[in-house]
Amino acid sequence: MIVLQTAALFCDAYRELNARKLFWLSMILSGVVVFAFASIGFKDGYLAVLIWKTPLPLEAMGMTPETFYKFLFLNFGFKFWLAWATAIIAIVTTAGIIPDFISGGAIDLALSKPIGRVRLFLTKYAAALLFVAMQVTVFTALSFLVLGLRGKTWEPAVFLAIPLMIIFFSYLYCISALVGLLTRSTIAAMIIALLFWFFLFLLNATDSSLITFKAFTQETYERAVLNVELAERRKIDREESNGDGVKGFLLDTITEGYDQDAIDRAIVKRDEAKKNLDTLTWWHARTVNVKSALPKTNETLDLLQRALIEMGEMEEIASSSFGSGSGSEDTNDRIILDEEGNEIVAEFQGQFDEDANRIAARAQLEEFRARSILWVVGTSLGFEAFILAICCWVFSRRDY
Amino acid sequence: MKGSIRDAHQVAPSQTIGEDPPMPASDQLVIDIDSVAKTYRGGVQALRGVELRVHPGEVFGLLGPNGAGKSTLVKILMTIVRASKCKGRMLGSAIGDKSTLTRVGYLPEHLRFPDYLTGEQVVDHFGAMAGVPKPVRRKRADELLDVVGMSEWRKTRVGQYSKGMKQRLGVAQALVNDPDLVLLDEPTDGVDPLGRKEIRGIIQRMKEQGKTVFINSHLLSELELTCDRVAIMVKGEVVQQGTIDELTAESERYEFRVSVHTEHDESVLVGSALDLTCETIEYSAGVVRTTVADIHEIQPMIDALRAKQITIHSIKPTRNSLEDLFMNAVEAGGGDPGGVRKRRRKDAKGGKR
Repeated sequence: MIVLQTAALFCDAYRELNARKLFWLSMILSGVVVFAFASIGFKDGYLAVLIWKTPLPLEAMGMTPETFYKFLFLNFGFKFWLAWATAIIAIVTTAGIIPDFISGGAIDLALSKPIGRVRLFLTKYAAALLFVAMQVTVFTALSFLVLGLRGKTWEPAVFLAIPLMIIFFSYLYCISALVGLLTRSTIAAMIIALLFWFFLFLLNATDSSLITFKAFTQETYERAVLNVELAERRKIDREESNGDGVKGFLLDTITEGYDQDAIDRAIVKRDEAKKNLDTLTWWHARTVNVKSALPKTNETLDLLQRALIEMGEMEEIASSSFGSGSGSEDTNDRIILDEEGNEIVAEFQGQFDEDANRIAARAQLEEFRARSILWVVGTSLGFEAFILAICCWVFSRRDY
Repeated sequence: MKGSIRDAHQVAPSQTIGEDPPMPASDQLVIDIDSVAKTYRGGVQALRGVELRVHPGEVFGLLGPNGAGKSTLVKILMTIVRASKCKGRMLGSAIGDKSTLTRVGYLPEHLRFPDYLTGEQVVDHFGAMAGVPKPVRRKRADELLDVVGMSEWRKTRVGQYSKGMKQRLGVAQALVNDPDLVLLDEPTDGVDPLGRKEIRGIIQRMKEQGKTVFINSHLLSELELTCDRVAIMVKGEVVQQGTIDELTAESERYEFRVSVHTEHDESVLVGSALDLTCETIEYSAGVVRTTVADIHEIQPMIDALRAKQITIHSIKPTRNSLEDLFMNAVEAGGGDPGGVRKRRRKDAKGGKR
């Protein structure tokens, strides 16, 4: 009986999707995206798209053609096409499923069958995820072939995209289902789900930014600590120098300006950096706490990246993609003798600018990859389970 | 008010019960409910303690004006609405037991099928939901679509169906699990006269197959033609239930068709023969109506009329129609018979089209 009813509900969901133009439009567009993906080729340092060619020094970017294809699949195929475009189409297409299901005349028939309300609702909910499941399965299967045939890398791990995408979409769809159930409105379900997604996006952006700022500030603080030690050492050297000979002359020149005031200024800078670091750490901890209770859409999708690309490879790609010399222009926080412009300042300044982007990229990668799969998926599914529990409670208690 | 509920099987044994077949025991009843109440949020009392008994193999009709609570009662039986209070059983199980629904077919009022399904797919889908295995579903779908006259449209999407076609399809899906009990909520709603006749035929066939049919309808003539027993519901309470014969027996009386072949005024002559001032005799347009149900009591009236040379064309026993019974019940219950009368006239017009 359970198998019969579940199969019937899934079959019905397929027929419903089959009747919607957006479903097929999305499927066709998926085919076009895969075709575009397959049309990209590499030969002798050139990137070829159909008949067009452009130089692309992959090695300078820290990539092999295999990695490039994987990177392209991840960032364009998966994170852009599936996780953005297809997800938006899916939200629009599926928003009406629950309101239609509970509309008068339709729900009467469903409830009059020998199936419990909770099971009926959950099966209907699961069946609504079929849209994304079918889209992502077709896209991933085709992409797997493209990766193998064009990128010469057969990666079964790409099929992880299927469960990840379904889980990711379910985070959003549970909100759509709850709003649809409460308001019986397709438009409300669609808009609230999209707004919820936007809110999660902002929360994730805040998390990423805070990680970056925290990494910069941590770096600034560590340098400020070093600068304080350096200033104290130079002051001692200056006091001990007698100025005799070449060595004494050089020591006097190098340590010129290192007096108690310089040390005090360095200490002020260090303390300011520490304060900033503490503030950022506090805010970041709060942000992570909030994220813990909510679905982590981006991080769930990034699990595929974890599976496909190693940490070292990712660092190379991430840092090279930022370019060089485009770091922060604000140097005041990191230099103790800015008015003097001596060699120590120049050394620190140059080193910082060079490392800034690498630090940011590495910090984000390390932080995100340090978060366990259990935390990323487990807490997100916990949120979904909580929302579904509310849905089941509402659905079970309501009179139709 | 509860005390006024009258099951004709339990009262007036001198009138009809002696002629009735023995009634099944309570545990054999298909529907046996007692004190079913429903108060919606906002304090609206839809049902105020409904008692109802439906016997196996009978066609049972539930009558009532709009807002009487008929659909709420059916929805409670089908677990669509949760009762505030409910004592009773359906097919031997407690009301609300989902597993019982495998043996029940249901046609809801204002039913709505998914537009993207074809007629055949609708029957198949709801058959699967009722737990009917695929080969059986296919076979039944063929038979049932044929029975309701929808075979020709089986491959057409429901979105293109008329209301009457959807209603026929609804009847087919209600029967796909070969139910013991079929609840039909306004089965002829939106169906043309030919379709109504066909649905009556289907109901008759169900009865012949031993199924119990519960019809919820405001179409009195439909119920009169199809139902073995009826219940009248007013303002959330069943005020009367029994066979139509039982319910109308109380109103049984004799009527005379008479004429006068003299120059005398007919009404004056009849008035001189019978005492028209008493409440039991009434005369108008050649018809003498009495409230007398006993054949022996009308003999003196016949003698008196004949003594005045009044010609008696016919003497026939007559009873209230179901409509009269219904109107009286609604009026007594403080309902709105005007609305019901208007709707009945409208339905009658629709029926004649």
